Amino acid sequence: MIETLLAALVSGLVLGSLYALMASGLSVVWTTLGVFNFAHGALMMVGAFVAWTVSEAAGLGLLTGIAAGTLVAALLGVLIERLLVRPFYGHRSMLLITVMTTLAAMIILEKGAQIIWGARLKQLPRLIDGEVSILGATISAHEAVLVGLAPLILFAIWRFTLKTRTGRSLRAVGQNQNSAALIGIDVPVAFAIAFGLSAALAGLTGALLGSIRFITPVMGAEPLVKAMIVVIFGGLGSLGATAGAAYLIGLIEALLIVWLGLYWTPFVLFLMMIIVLVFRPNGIFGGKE
Amino acid sequence: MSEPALSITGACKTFGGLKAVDDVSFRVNSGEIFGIAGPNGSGKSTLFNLMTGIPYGPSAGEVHFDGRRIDRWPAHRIARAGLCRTFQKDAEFPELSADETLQISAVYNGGQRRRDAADNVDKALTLVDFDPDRRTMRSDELSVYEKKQLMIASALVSNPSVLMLDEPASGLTKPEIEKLDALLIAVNRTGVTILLIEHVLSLLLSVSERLMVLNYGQILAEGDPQTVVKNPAVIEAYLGGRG
Repeated sequence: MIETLLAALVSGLVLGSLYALMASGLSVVWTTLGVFNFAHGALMMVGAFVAWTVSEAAGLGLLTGIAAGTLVAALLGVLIERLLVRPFYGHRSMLLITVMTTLAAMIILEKGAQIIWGARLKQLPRLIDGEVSILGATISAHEAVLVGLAPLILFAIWRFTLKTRTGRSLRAVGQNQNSAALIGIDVPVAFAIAFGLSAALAGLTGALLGSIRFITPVMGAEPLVKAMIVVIFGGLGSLGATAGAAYLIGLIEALLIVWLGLYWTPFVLFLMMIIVLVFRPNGIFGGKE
Repeated sequence: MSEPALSITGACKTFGGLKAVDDVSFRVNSGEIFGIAGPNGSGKSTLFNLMTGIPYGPSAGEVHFDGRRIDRWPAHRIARAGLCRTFQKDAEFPELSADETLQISAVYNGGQRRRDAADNVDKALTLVDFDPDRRTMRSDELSVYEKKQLMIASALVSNPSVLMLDEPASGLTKPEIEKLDALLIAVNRTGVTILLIEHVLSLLLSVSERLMVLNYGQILAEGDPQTVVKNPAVIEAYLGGRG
């Protein structure tokens, strides 16, 4: 029993790390623009495919592949902001319109990936071979890298938003766009930076995940849904709350898989999300209305 | 005649069939406090909006600032050029402290280096008499008057040549309005030209060197404040017919 729980705990840590990276990207865009980017999962998929192309097809090595996947996803994120989000700034139905445009971007990217890379499953090699034992449970060394890397990346983003000139400008834009322009911040540029940063996180997550799961055009769909649950669960707007909720959801999911099985787990997770929305609409870590 | 700090020519702003600002032209001299009054919905804030590009520019007409035409510039460029404004509402960035707000403003708007920015943040907060113990508090935890001080300081930290204040006295008590009166005079004495939209007539008449009254988006009267408020058309429109 204890061994099962420890295994679930470690599995939850791996899932939590993955969700934290995905959800923090969603959170950056939401807190800066007030937009929910439904193409976030597809950007993750692009990161994985580009990493595979550079690493395996071109033979330039995994680290170069991960860097390329991150960069291409970031550039695509900036492009999505420029073409599909920016034209609707200030529109009274901006939130609804951008739901549609980012959903369209998701479909375009997924179908585009199918045309470019085909339907055959692909997988990246692992960063490090071998296995690591944590609390008696065994995970691959690559997963251990993901577990170690995620908090470092989250800490770096937190420091970036808090201490750097650009990070502070993103926070200012997120709180008051008009006043941000008044103090000299180029608001559209801040939006593009937020989208680029968010997409880079998605691309990096995809490139890292490509060694654990198969790379397919729709590989981003499930992590996107889980990241949405995390963001709603933790409360929109706070990176710390998002990270905390990501690890909590990862752990709950791992325990539910052990106790209830794979099929009931999404049912319970969504039920929890609905309960949180009803009783704590600002999330379990967010303040009351 | 010397070059005006601001010159607005034939400014119009239409929303569908509604003319919110209708062919408004005026000049603001360098170093003066220029008051703008008018009933609710007369176009005062719309005029500020189209002059600063937030959230829109004019439908027609020209705005010249410091000898340059700015009515097609993006808002952040206008602010960086030295034309700053405040809004009627409270804290600009609720989750940022006064220190953080001013540092961002100094760096982006003023183009200052971090060390210079820190000095200018101190100067601006001192000028508006902001309580030093409350500089690191979140803006949404400040009192109404402190939020007004912060808004003015965040504009001043970038060393603007023109400061546009939209109803800074709203929500203030009488003693606070008296403090604001002294503050505006002090800011003006540093060489900053001030445009002031205000409903509190006592403040407007106390500090303004010239006064313009708007009604239905058009200029009703402009000139010496004491003369303008005695204008029968202004009394009829703005004061509701009371003498």
